Amino acid sequence: MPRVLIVEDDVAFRARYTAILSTDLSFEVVGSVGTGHEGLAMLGALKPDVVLVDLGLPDISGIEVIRRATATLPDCECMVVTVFGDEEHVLASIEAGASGYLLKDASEQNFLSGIRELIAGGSPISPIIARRLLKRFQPEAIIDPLPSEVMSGVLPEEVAISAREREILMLASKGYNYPEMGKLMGISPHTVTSHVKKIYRKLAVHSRGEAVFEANRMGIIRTL
Amino acid sequence: MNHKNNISVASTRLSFFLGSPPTHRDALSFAACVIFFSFASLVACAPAARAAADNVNPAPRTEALVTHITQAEFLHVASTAPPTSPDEKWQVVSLPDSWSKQQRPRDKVGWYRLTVDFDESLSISPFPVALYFPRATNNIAVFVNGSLLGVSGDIERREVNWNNAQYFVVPSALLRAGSNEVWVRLHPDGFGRAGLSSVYVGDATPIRAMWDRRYFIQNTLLKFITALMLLSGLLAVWIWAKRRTESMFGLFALMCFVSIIRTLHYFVHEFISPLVYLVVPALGIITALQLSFVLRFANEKSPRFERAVWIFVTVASLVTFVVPASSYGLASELYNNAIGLLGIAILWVLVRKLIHKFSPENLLMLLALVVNASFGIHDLANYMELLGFDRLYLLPLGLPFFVFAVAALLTARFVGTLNNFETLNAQLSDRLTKREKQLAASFEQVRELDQQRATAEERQRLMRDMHDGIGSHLMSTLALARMGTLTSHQMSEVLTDCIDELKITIDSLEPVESDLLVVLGNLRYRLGPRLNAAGITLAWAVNDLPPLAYLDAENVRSVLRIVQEAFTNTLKHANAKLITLSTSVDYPKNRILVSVADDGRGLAIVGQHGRGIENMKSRAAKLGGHLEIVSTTGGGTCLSLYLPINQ
Repeated sequence: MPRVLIVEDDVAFRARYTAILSTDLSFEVVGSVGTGHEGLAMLGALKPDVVLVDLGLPDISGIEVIRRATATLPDCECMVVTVFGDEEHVLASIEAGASGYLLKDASEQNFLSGIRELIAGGSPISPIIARRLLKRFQPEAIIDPLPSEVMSGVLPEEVAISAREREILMLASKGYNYPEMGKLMGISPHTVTSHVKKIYRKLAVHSRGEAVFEANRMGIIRTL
Repeated sequence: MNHKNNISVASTRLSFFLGSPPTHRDALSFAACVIFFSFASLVACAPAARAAADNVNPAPRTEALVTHITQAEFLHVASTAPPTSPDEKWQVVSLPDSWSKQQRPRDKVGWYRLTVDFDESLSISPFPVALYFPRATNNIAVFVNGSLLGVSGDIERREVNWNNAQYFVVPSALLRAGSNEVWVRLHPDGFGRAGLSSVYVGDATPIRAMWDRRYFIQNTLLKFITALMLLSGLLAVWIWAKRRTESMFGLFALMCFVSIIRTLHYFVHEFISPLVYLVVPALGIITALQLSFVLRFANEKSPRFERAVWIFVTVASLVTFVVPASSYGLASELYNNAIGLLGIAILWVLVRKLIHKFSPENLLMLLALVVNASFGIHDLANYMELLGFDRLYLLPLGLPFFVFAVAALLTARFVGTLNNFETLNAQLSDRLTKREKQLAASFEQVRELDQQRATAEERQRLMRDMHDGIGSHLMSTLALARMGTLTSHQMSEVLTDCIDELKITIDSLEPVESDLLVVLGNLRYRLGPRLNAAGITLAWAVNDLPPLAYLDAENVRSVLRIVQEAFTNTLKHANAKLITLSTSVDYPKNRILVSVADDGRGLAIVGQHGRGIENMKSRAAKLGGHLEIVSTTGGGTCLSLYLPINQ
């Protein structure tokens, strides 16, 4: 049974999430806190399987909570709950290690199915984000800025997307949904969603690589 | 006539006597050999000779001796052999002896007789004996004790040999102890300044050294100077060809070439007819050229004076061609004196220039021409027999000074140009850097202003959007809520609408880079859940579209509003199960088509929502396209939005 931690400063929303999750007996809400610091403390204490994070926390950014969760709990799924699901917030969360995002105005049904899909390995992707990722994963944009001594030949392969994944991003940017993409590509919708999740993970690794590269360039890290 | 015969007879006898006519070059090489061997034997035999001398009494002469002979006897007779008849009336003369001073006719051969005394010890002297004439004009034949010793050139032919020092080694067999007689047969060849210099006789080594020095200055050095003038002239022509406006270098080149005509007559033996007659005019032309050069150098313009000088020089030069040979000497003397006055004019111009602006180049030019002028005055005096027949002519030696001054001028100009160029370059790059900075700054300013303007415009558009859309929507809802006539379902519907509106606005702010499909796809992504919840399937039948360059945030919102309105109408009124959104391109008509078709009730909506459709149509028109709606009762509604590819 997935154990869920909620980090959300708005009491009403906290109550709403708890209420929605309690309707499904397969979830257990183990904690519900209102600040980032409390969230960080709970991460260590509770070791949850799922964390729902609001980005606009009063003390530290939700991005920081996601980063810590991904770093300390590798099996933990982080989900961002955003107001608009706009590109900037979503990409920042995914780069920090979030596996997907939920919209605050989603209906109870959509909210629950969203969480379930995320746990099952599915992540939503909007056409605008797909288009942005296509540009991010241009071959030269991945390999060139990362010198070999920094990446030691591991990262470029890991962060370069496959032709399949590229095709999925292409179709997603044209507005196709997962079932349609599956049909067009001759694969199941489930396979499409797992591809998207892989893309998200590569994006997180990619951005960590960029961070390492930047740090190395600025002389913060001397050797890897 | 008689005289000429005598000469030809004499030379025939001479050739017969010697086997072949002796030449000056032969005499030289002979002298060189003699010198070399005598020197070698001197070095090799000196100890032996000294040893031998020790055994003999009285002690032999060990110091080199040179006698300067300034007394001679002269006889105007044309014989080819030394006149030995006691009847001849020899006239005692002192050396150097000038024929023009003695007013002797210069077309007759004359004889000199010199007496040289040697003491007893000479016969065993280790030193060879030599004779040296600093100048003999023109050719001479020298006899010692009745035997021919050598000749300076070909007496029979006309030669130009007036300026050569002569050197003869006397074989010891020809000498005798006591009084020796030396005869010199001199052919003046019509030269204005015929005559014989004083004579040096004695040990060959010091005599040779004296002759060497004299020959170098009088002859070899002038050959170097001729080469220098040729080279300088060619260089100046080159400069002038590149800079035609600077006539001073053309004048300098011409002066160099004319001066060669003059320097040649100091050492070329051949009697080259036109060249010889150009020697006197050349001096005037050189001086006039120098004057013209100096006037340009000093930036002085006096064309009338210059023209007068040139007319005078031209006329005077022409006169020298027609003057009879008898008065040629006097004419050239007058000519040279007039030229001397030109020299003073030159110096005057240069002094004024130097006073006006002191510079090392101006000073050098003045000094060079002072040297030239003093040499010229010296030579003038020499020519007028005021300084003695032996004296050297110096004027050609002044030419290198002038060349050096011109070279210094050119160097100064070159260096100055280089320095100016460097300074200019530095200034230019300085100015360029400044200008670049200014440009960058103004560019940055323009860019900032642009950005500010764009931001302001975008803000205005957003404000308008908020005011007309979400704002009025919320206001009317608020009014209804205050009246208490709004159910919570209605309320949440209105708020959902508002949030959707907000999402569209936010999405429209994302850069989509002219890609309409991304915009439509995002709308589907946003509205999909709501359509699903209403039980409506949205079929996606899109074809790739060309980029639409005019798709900025505002235009994106317009397109989104149109399509959203179509969805909303269907959602609310059509009672449809399926909406099909398709896109296609019509390249011939330069447009794309976005169509939204449903399978609902149709037609009715057109009447009911006239105003909404008018809005949609005006939005489409603003985008440069148009909207068509086809609806049949029970056959669904099809909305076609045509947009241009290039607005």
